[in-house]
Amino acid sequence: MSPATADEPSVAMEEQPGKESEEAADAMEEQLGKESEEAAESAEEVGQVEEEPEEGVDPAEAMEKAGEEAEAEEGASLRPALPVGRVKRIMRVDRDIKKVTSEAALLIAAATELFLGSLATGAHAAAARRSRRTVRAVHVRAAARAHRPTADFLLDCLAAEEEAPRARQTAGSARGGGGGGGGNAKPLPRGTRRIDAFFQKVT
Amino acid sequence: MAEAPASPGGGGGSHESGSPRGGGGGGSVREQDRFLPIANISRIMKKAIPANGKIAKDAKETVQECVSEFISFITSEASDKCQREKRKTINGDDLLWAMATLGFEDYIEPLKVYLQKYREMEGDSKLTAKSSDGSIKKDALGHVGASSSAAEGMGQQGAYNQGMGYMQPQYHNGDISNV
Repeated sequence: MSPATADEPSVAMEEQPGKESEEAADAMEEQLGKESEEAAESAEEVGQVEEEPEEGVDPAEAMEKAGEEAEAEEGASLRPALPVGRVKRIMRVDRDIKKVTSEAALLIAAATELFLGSLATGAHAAAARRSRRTVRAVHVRAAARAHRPTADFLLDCLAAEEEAPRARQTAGSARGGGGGGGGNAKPLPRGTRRIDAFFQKVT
Repeated sequence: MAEAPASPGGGGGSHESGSPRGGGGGGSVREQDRFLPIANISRIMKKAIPANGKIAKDAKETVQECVSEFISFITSEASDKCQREKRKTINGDDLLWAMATLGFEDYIEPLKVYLQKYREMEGDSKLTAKSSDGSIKKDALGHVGASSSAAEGMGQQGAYNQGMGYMQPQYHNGDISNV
């Protein structure tokens, strides 16, 4: 249910900005849009097959694992597991970027998949070092700090996130500790996250 | 629309199955426009960790923010390069250059392989588009390939011949172009 629901908006979003003068481009996007559903299904199948990957401790192994995932994904289908329309919208949000080719959005989606895999592997390694089986936000941040290129562009975000959870823990919210682990409240200009954080606290 | 990420059995450690994130009123940009769907992120994360590992919901949300920052980071660098070169459209090569500049050299080789396969598929679909428009839909549903598209074309012509006699000349013309 949820994968199908997630894919339909991406298809709709792809069609609207894709109104280019070239007919071939339209045909391509129609075909790619239709294949996205198959990609989602095949991605699930690939996920089931690869449910037991080796534990990666070194960053090099994490990169190799990410590469293997990319190859597996390519074997299943040439569509990434992330909605390309959503990726394109994120690319346009921060800047006055007027045009992004479909190839560029697809490339960013594939790169994001590699980044996501290496970040998850690093987070699991951080959790294992602390004898934990559940990966939490603090482990994700530790993995991000361990990877130099990632730490460069996430430094402000991570620092802001680290201060807020400490303030919360100082206040002594046991429920917040149990449910949230590391809270995600941060004083960045994204107000949506604060509202979401309060919502989690109440839950 | 708010998305409810339904966690599969034996999946992450989220206690609640569906908690809609209705925080869109905070800014003009909606929640679903700023982040990728957490279900997709959760699926990819699970492929990267062992089967007995669990992922807390706050970890998924932190990764959700990290990947959005990653996309904006790469896109911003590529956009600067385009502006210096007086171009308005960001293409794949700009993004590959941006990743190399920002320290993600390890991603470039897998992405080039990926891009090459994508372009090959694009070439196949263009050839298919030239032959006939009807077969594009079938190719999209099935596997893209010269032999399979030819077989589908033949089947389609047979069906139409049985049904409507007056359309025979058009598809006969298509048959010639296929062969």
